[in-house]
Amino acid sequence: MTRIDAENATLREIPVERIDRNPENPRIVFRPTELEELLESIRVYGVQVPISLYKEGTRFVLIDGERRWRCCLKLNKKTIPALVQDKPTPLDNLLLMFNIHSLREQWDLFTVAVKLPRVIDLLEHDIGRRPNERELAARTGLSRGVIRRCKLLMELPDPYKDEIRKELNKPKAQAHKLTEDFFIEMERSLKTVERALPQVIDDKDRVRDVLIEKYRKGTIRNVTDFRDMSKIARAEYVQADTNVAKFALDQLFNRNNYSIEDAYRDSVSEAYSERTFLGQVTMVIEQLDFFTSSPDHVTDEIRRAMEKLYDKLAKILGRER
Amino acid sequence: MSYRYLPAQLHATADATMDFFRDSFGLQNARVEEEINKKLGYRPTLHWLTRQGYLVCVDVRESPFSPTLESVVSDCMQQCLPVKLFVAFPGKPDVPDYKRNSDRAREKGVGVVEVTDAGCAVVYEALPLSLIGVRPIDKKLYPPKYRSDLAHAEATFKSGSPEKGCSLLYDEIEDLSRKIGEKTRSKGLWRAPKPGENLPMSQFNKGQWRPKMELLMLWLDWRKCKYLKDSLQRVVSVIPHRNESGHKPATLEVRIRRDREIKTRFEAAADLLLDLITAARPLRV
Repeated sequence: MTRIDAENATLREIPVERIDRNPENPRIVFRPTELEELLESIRVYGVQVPISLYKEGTRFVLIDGERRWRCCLKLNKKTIPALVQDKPTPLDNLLLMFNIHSLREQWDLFTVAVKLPRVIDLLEHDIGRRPNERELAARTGLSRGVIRRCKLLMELPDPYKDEIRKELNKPKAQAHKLTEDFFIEMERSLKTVERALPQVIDDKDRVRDVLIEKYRKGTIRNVTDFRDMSKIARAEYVQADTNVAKFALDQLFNRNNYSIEDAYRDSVSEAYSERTFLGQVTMVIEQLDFFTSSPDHVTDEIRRAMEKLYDKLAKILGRER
Repeated sequence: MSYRYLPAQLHATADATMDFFRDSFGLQNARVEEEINKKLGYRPTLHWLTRQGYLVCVDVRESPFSPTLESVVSDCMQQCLPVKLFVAFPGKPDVPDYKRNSDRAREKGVGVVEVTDAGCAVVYEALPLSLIGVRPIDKKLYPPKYRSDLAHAEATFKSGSPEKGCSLLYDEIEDLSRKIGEKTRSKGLWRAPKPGENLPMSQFNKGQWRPKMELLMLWLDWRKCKYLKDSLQRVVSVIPHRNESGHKPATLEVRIRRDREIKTRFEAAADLLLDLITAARPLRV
């Protein structure tokens, strides 16, 4: 756990001009519209929640509340209510910020992702070995799922990270196109393709660019379509023809206006439908076993449904009643 | 340039605006996010103090207006701060509520500067906020022939030429008071000459205003036109301000004091004109 002695923190009015931002603050995006809303709230109601600081010589460094501090500067306020704590270690400094935000307002995932490697390094130094996912989750207050998603973002080449940064700087009200979710879904899917059919991807960045362009143009309509791309790569799993799957992915990565939906339909759609159907039939058979041993449970309504099913099956199998 | 409040995505807009104000208006060494007045709860992104004692402020933001700016304008007006406030925003097709916000800025006397890759363009000029708080003239109370001149005087005052705005009102007062002089003499409302005196016959529409008014005050028969006394006494008291172009205030403090005084003077002149028109009604001037 973090070693901050919060009980000894004191609440004081601190001159805003004696406060410096924390260079470790993971928040990299301050959206003008959100700042403006906070500015108006502070103008009307004042700072209702104290910020957190630690003392550094004659000045103070922010632990939590950079946006409130910035707004107070803008509103020409002389002081701001603050909890002044002892100076934390670099690791505690970062972990405190992570924990504050995992309990309260969430940072953008990318913001967390950018700072996570630094946390890992500091933790490694602290415990003498690389922290595992469970330890990282416990110390940062992030779920393991979030940590995994962050790792996917951090593995992206820099130009794609820049795309995310650009997108994050837009107001939230505007529909973001290339969101963190888009990249996470795309990367997960590409990893599956690379694992299952490595020969399909000649140049991963080129494939990324093609998929991004298709998403921008609306050929790929939804970020969840990438899950179908993974299913195509796993054609073998449903005994579908892998050559057909390879061809469909090849078309997807090279042909204009060819969507994931098209590739899925042309390759593994039937195989997955069959698999789904077999799963459902298995469930029905298990249910029928129950009725065989307990015929009293067959109500009139169930009986009517069974007869309908029986007729259909007899017709399909050529055994008319 | 380093900004403490301004979000990073607006830094380029602020830098371009700074260059534009330097190149177009000769304003150098901008103060960045600094206090402009202890009593004003707002720090614009950039500001300069001009040689005329005006504070030219630029707030860089995503759209041309906001509720916060509304209160800033109101505070500047109340405190008579000689601020010319501009909003600079990145000109993009998706500026939120562009039409509504830019109209609101214009109504409030806030200038609007659009910053694009091609450069900066002033969409609306900023008006001095110390002056636009002047009480509006209710033109319906005045006879129709005065209304357009009053509107012109008001616009001139608010647009940064308060002396000229006042002067236009004094023109109306002078013209009417001269007509009153002429009319009262022709209607026999002057007193009879004392022994050794001659009734002055000089024309009222010519010559300096002050001697003519002194003459009128001396010769009017106050028993016959008592209704004019108060207004004409007030006319005499404003004559010294008639041609006061005033030296341009060199410091902020002088500018604040000057703007406060001239605002009061403009409002008083508009009131005096109305009272004079009302008082002179029986004379049918």
